[in-house]
Amino acid sequence: MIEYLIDGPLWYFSLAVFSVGVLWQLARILFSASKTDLSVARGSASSGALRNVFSRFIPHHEIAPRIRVQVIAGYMFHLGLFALLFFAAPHVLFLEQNLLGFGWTPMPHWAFIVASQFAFFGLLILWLRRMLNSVSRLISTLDDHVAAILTFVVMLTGCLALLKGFTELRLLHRFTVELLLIYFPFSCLMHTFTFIPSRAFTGAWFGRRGIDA
Amino acid sequence: MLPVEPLQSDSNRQRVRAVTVRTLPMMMVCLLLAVFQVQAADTPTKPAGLISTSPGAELWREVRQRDGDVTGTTQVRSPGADVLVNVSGQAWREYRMEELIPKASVAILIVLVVIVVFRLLRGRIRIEGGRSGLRVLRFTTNQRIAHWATAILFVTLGLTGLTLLLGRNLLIPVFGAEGFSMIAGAAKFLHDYLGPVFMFALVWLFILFVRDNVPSPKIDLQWLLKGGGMFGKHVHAPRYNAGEKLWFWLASIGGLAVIISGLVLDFPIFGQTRATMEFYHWVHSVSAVILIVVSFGHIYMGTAALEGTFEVMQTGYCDSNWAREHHDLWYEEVKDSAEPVPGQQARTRREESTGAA
Repeated sequence: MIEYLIDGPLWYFSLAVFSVGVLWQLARILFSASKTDLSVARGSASSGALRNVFSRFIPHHEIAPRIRVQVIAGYMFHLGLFALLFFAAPHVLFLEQNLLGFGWTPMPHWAFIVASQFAFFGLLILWLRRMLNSVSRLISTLDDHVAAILTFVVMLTGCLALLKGFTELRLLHRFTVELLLIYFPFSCLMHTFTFIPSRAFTGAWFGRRGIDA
Repeated sequence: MLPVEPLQSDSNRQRVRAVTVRTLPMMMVCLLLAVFQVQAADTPTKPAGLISTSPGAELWREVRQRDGDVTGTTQVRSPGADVLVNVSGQAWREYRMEELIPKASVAILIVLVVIVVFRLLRGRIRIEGGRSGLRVLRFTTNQRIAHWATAILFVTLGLTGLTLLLGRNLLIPVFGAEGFSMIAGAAKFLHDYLGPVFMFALVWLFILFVRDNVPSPKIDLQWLLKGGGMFGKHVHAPRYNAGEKLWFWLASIGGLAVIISGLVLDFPIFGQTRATMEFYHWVHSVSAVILIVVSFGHIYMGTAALEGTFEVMQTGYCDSNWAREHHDLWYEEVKDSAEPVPGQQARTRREESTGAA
């Protein structure tokens, strides 16, 4: 019964919530009313947007020494998670069989292990920093903690789901993924889709005013 | 048309038939004799008085030599693949079940009992001068992140490792064989995947803490000889006392042993033989159990034993009186940087008791 629920209705429900929720959030941001900028342009908004999208991948040299740990941990976690999500063999197979109808070459097992180490260590360090740095702790919301813990649990159960002999562990992973999908559009996890438009918007604003930031 | 020789052909056929009729029974008899001969040669001679109930017993007795491994020939190219039954593996299994596991269990129990006895004798050790209302920075944010990352991974790996080592005896009675199978499988996967992450954390921790953990022979020896001042007069201590330094170096060297042996066990793709794996399994288990039992002491001392200790790793700051009582030499260096604790009035316990009176 539980297996049927998790593999069937709950999966489709969570997928629908995720898809509709993300589209709705993006549309809401895109079509939100903003004042028309009547000032005389001192520079190109487009080049400012493009420059900001890429320049923000590297922290500004003045603050870089102070945020070195979270930058390294951030890259470790995000690159590791991206590799696991799209190039782990079970995920490629799942996407091919259940969603897309086509697949691609998954990463080798050693790369899978390295990616999972990066993702686990990066997330652990980021969450600990959030808890232990007094400023980060103050500005963190419940949403930040729930998102971090839920992501960690999904990764942890994913690790357990590799044990193919037990259906319970696979179901546990799928259930936590479904919870994450439902939570995703209404949380800070939306930064997955919004960080590029956000940088571009800020960069365009700066670019038009001729601010070199 | 060519002339045919029917008479000669018929006579040949008759000759062949006659030879066949004569020799066939003889051939059959020979064949039967050969079969019986082969069967007789293959039938093992049973020792007198031995009753074999399983037809495979003789075969397996031959295959499994008790005196040592017998190698054969195989197309599989991996270390030990040419040994059908590995005798040393059985010896290792017996050692693990009959010596390693019982000794590890006893060591864990002894340390737990020692901690309970210490608690009963000494109770919770208070800050003698009470809270000063002033604090000094003891650990940076990065030091605390490295400590807690290592601690979380250590506890997770310790629990999953102990599940694999002791779970058969402890968990099967509770969860049953099927339940334990799932728990042990999950524990092994977690252990294997989180193990290398521990390496990152421990290396980072070592880099951040090593400078102040370099031994100061004279001071450290004095501290050790006086038992850290636990049962007598106060002992001088720098930033880290000899007990903390011992734990740091034990965790670093033991941790290195656990990491190296763990990597050898985690990636058996570099031609490790069975004997190599057994040796590193032993190194891994013994060093891990030593770290686990000593860590009980570290955890107790850092949480429930001493007032004001746990908050140091929580917030990074320690109370000035705490610093003066436990690390006076270090406090002398940093006392000028003491600052008031935000939101807390400077109240010593003496003042509290005076007020209460």
